[in-house]
Amino acid sequence: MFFKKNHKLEENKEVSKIVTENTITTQKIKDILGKSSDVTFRRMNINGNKNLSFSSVHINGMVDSLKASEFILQPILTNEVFKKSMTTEEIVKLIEEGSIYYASQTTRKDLNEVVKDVIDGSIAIIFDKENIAFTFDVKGFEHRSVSEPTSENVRKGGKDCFVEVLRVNTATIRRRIKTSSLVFEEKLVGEQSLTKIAIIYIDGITNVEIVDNVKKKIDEIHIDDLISIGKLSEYITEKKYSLFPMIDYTERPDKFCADINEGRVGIIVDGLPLGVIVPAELAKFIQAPEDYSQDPIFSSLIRILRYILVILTVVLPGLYVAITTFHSEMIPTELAISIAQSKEGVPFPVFLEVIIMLIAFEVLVEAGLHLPRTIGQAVSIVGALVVGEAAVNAKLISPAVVIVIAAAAIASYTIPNQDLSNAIRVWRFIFVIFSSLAGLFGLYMGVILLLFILARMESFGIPYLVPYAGSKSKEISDSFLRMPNYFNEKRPSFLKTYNKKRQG
Amino acid sequence: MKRAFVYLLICIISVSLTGCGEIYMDKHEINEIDLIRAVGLDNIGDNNIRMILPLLETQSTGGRGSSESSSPGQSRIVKEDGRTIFEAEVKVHSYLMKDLSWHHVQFVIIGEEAAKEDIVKYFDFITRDHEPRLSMLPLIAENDSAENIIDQINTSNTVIAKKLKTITDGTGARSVSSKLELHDLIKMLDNKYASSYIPSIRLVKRIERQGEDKDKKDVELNGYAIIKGRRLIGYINDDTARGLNFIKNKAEDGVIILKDKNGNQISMEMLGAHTDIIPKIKDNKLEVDIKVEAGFAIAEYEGYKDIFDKKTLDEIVKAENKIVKQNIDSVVNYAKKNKADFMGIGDSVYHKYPVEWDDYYKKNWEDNFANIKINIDVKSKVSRTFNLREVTRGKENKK
Amino acid sequence: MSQKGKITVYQAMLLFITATYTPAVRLISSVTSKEAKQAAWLTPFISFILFIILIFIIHSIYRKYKDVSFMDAIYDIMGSFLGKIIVFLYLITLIILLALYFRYFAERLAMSIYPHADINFFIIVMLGVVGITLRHGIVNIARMNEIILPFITVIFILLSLLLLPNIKIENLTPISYKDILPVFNASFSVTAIWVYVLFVFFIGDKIKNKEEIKSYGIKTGVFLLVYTVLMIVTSVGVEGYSIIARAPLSYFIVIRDVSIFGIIERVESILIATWLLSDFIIISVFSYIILELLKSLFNFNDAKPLVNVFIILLYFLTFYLAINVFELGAYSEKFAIPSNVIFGLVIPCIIWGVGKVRRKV
Repeated sequence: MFFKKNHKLEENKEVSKIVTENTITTQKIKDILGKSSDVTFRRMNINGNKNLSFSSVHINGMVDSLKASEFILQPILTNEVFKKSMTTEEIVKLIEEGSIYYASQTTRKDLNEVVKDVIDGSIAIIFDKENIAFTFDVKGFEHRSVSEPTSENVRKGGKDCFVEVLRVNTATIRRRIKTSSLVFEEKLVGEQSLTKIAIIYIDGITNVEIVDNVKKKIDEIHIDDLISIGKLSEYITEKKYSLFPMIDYTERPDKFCADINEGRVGIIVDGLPLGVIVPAELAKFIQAPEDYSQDPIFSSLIRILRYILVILTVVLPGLYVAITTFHSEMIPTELAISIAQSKEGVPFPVFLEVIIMLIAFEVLVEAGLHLPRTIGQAVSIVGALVVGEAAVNAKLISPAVVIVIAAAAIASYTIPNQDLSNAIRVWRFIFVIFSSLAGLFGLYMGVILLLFILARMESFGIPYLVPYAGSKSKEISDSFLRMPNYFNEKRPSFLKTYNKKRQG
Repeated sequence: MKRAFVYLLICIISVSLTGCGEIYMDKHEINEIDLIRAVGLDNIGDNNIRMILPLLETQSTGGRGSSESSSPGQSRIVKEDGRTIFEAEVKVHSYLMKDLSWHHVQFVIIGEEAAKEDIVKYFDFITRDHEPRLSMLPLIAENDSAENIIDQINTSNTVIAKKLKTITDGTGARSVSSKLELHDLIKMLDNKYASSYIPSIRLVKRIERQGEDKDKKDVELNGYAIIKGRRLIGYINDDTARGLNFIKNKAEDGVIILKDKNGNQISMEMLGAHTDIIPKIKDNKLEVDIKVEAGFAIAEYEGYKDIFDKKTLDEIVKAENKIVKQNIDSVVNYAKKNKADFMGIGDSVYHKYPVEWDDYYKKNWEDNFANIKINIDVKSKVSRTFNLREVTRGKENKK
Repeated sequence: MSQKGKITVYQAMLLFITATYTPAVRLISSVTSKEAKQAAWLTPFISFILFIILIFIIHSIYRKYKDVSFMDAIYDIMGSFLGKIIVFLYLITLIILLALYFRYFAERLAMSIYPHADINFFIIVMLGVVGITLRHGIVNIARMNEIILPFITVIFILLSLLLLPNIKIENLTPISYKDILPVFNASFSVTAIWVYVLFVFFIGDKIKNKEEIKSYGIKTGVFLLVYTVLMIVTSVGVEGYSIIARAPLSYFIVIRDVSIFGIIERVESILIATWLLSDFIIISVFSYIILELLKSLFNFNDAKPLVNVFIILLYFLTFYLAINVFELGAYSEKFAIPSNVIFGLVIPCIIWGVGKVRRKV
C-alpha cells in the first residue's frame, strides 16, 4: 500500500505530460479515494440506457445532498434534452454547453483536479469513455454562522465576524470594500492539509513589494498542515525568536477592511476565523477600532492613557523593587514610613515578594483559561481571597506589593492586542530581576536593552517602532492621538503606498 | 543571538569578579532603615559635638483589624558625642539596629552655644553629604541647647518632626518668624557683605499635661537669631522680628492693637503687606527708601462709638502707619547698632546700582551702613470688617 | 526612513542633541555660574552664534562633497599626509573624550545615588550593553534615539515647570556691562559641547539628504539655545549662583528640592533615567565615530571585528584617565574645554578657509 501510493504520487508529479496516466476513470478515483467510508460512488444510467452511463462521486457531509440531487442529478436523469441523445459524447457536449443549469460548473480533464474538487465539497460526474468529468460546487457542510466576535468586544461597529469558511469570509470582505481593485489571490499551503489561503490587497494602493514579499514567503512554506495560526505567523515573520508580535490578527471584518484600505496586505486562511494583517508595527497594537467610532478628543486621551499604561505596566514592579531596595530616598517621607511599617515582619525581601506575586498572577490567569466555566467562578473567588487577604494577614506578603502588582496587572489588560500583552508580561519579569540586581541602574539598562530589541525589529522592511522612529514624518495625528478625519489625509507613509491621499 | 549570550556571560563573570558585593552595600530594604526626621546639634565644649537624633518607633500595621493610623509612642532619643558630626554619626551606626537614613531629615536644631561658636562648621556635613537635602529647615535654640529642647518636646503623643512642622507652618499667625530653607540660608551665608538670620525657637509652658509628661514644655517659634559672619550675635523677637518680616515681604497674618480717641482698644488684623526697598543715590550719597503698603481689617473693637466714619478711619490709618513704622524702625536700629545687614539692603543696592556697588559701596558695607539714611514710608489702609459692622448696643454713652 | 544602514540628517541632529544633554546637565550650570555668576543665563546666546557659523561651514563643505564622510573631505582639501595627521589628532581627542564621559557616567552614579558601589560594575555593564548595540550599526541607535530624545525633552519640560514657581528673579539679575567679559569667557564651555555636531559628521557617509543640513542645523541651534537657557535659568534662579557654582551635580540638587503641594516630590529617579539614557547614546555614538575614524585612517574594510578589542581598550583607558573625580573635573575644565573648541570650531574654520583658497569648496 505504501509503495503503491508512492508510486501513484510519483506518477501524478509528472502531471500532464502523459495524458493517459492522468485520464479520468472511475476506477482510478476509486483507487485514490475508495478507502474512506464517507466517499460515495454511484453508477447511473441516463434514461435507463445502458450506453449512457456515468458515475458520480461525492463526499457525504461535504455536499448538500438536496442541492446535488435537485440541481444536478435530477436534470441529468430526467431532462428532456438528454432523452434524445444516443451517445455519451453528445451528452458531454450538451452538458458543456450548459444543459445542467447550475451556476458553478467546471470541466475537468485532469485526475488530480477532480480529486481535489471532490474533497473540497463538489460532486463529480464522470464519463469514463470520454475521460472527462464535470464537477459542481455543492458545498453544504455545517459551519458556524456569522455572529458576534467571541474574543473582541464590539460596541459601535458591525457585529459580524469571520467564520471558518474562506468563501464566506471573502464575501464579507467584498461587502465592505466594493471597489473592483480589491484582489484575492489564492494559494494552497500544506502538503497534507492543502489549506486554501487568500491574499488580499487593493491593486493600485498597496505597494507591490510587500505583496510580492508575502507571496514569496508563503510559497516557501513546506509544512504538513496549516491548522493553527502559529505556523503561518512563524513562516511569515522574519525573526523567529522574537517575543513581540509582528503580525496582527482580528476577528472583525471592519478592522480588517480598514487596514487593507490603508495599504496593508491581508491574509485569510480557510479553517481559521481570523484575518491576518501584515505588516504590523508596535503603534498598531495599541490602537483599537473603537477609537474610530468615538469622539476624537476622547479617543486621543484614551490613546495617550494606553501608552502611559503600557509603560507603567512594564516598569512599575521593577521600579517598586528598585526604589524600596536601593533608593528609599526617592519616596516621600510619609509614604516611606507607611511602606516600611506595612513590611514589618514579612520574611521575604521585596524582590522575592514581587516575583511571587507576579507568578501567582500568571498562575491565576492560566488557571482561568483552562477551567470549565462552572468551576471558574469558585476558583477566582478563592484566588482573590487567598492571595489577597490571607497572604497579607499571614505576613507572607506586604499589602503595598499586592497593590503594585494588581495595578500593573490590570494595566496590562488595557492593551488591545493579546500577544503584545504577553510579551510585556515576560519583560516585566526581566525588569524585576534587573532591578533587584542593581537598582535603578539595572532597570534603566533593561529599558535600553528592550528599546534596542524593538528598534532592531523590522516587519517586511518597515521598522517596528514606526511612526515614532525611522519614518520621515511623525504622523502623530493617527498613531499617538486620534485626530478627526480631516487631519488624516494621507495614508501612513511608511507603507509606501502608490496612492498617497486617503480621501479620494 | 549567540553573541548576546556570550556578552551576557562575560558581563556576569566580570561583575562577580569585581566583587558584586560592592553594590550590595547600597542595598537596604525599606523596613531596615531608620528614618530620622529631625536632628539636634550641640557644642559641649572641648571641641566636641553632640548629635541628638530622635528616632521613630515603628510598629507593623499590616493586616486587617489593626488601626490604620499608627499611634506613635514616645520617640527614642539617641545622643552621641564626637569630634565632628560625621564621627558621631558613624559611632551611632555601630550600635543602632537599623541603618540610618538622612534622606528624610526635615529639621535641624542648632544649640545656642554651637551657634555662638561657628555656625558654618555645623552645616558643612549637612550640605556636603549626599543624603541630607537642601530643603530642610534650620532652627536655632534660643537660650538653650538643642538637646534640652528635643528632650522637652518629646511627649508621648507627638512625633517631634510633626510638632516642629506644625509650628513652622503656622508662622503666619503672628508673623514674628518664618520658614527658612537651608539653601536660602547658605545663599545668605555665602554673601560676604551681609549677615544672615535663622528662625529661633524657645521653650515655654503652655499646655497642661498629665502623667509623665507633666513637666514637659512646649516649643514656640518666636523670632530670629542674627548671624554675623559665622557667629550668632543676638536675637530679635516680637515687634522687631515682625519688622523684619515686613521688610522681607513675609508678613501675612497678625494683630495690631490701636487705641481710639477714648482709649478703647481696636484690634486690627493684618491682611498682608508688600514692601519695596528702593535705594537712591542723591548728591553722591546713598539713601534707601523702604516703602510699605499694608492692608488691615478691623477684627475687634472694645468701645461703643461708631468708628466707621471717615475721620476716625483716617485716624486709625495714621495709627497703623505709626505702629508699622515703629516695627521697622526697631529692626533697622538693631541692624545699625550691631553693624549687621541682614535685611537685604546691600543686596538691593547691588541690584539697582551694580557698578557703583562693585566699585565703591561694597567695601566695608556692614560697617558703613549704619551711616546711611533709611527712610521708612508706610501706607496702610483699612480694607474691611466682617460680620457685624457697628458695635452692639452702640450709641450709648457708657462713660 | 533609512535605507539599509543610512540615517537622515534629522536623525543625526537628534543624536547630537541627546549627546549634548549629558555634559550640559553636568557641566554647564556650574561652570557658567562660576564664571559669569548671576548672568550665567546669557552665555548660550553667544555660543548660538558660534554654532550657526559651524553649521554654515559644514553645509558649505558638504555642498561639494556629497556623500562622503568628513574625513574624506579633509583628505581631499588638506592633502593626504596632512589630512591623516589631522584625523589622527581628532581620533586621539575623541578617544580621550569618550573615556572622560565613560568615567564621568560611572562617577556621577556613584556620587549621587550609589555611594558605596564600585564603579567597575557600572562600567562593565555599560560596556556590555554598548558592545551589543554597536555591532548592529548606527541605524538602530538612531531609531532608539528617536524615542529617547522626546522622552528626555518631555521630562525636562515637566521638571522645568515644577521648578518655575521657585525661581527668584533676584538670583538672575542684575546685568551690567561688567558682566560682558565673564559671560564671554563662560560661553566657551557651552560652545565646547555644541561643537560635537562636527563629530557627528565624521560618519557622514552614513547620512543621507545632506542638503538639509542648514535648515535642520538652525532648528537644532534654536532648540539647544532654548533648552540650555531654560536649564541655567531654572537651576541658578532657584538656588542662586553661589550654590550652583560649587555643586558638581547642580541640576540634581535643584531637582531634589522640588516639592509641589507637598505631594509631588522626590522626582529625581526620573532625572536619573534621562542621564542614563543620554549617557548611553553619547557613548555609543562616540564609539561608532571612533570606529569609523579608525576605519578611515587605517583603510579597513569593516570595523566590526574591532569592536571587541576597542571595548577592552576603552575599559583600561577609562581607569587610567584620572585617579579621582577631582582630577577628572580639572581635566574637563582646564583641558577638555579649550581642546574641544579648537578641534570643533577653529580647525574646521581653517579647513574651510584652505578649501576656499584651493577652490575645492
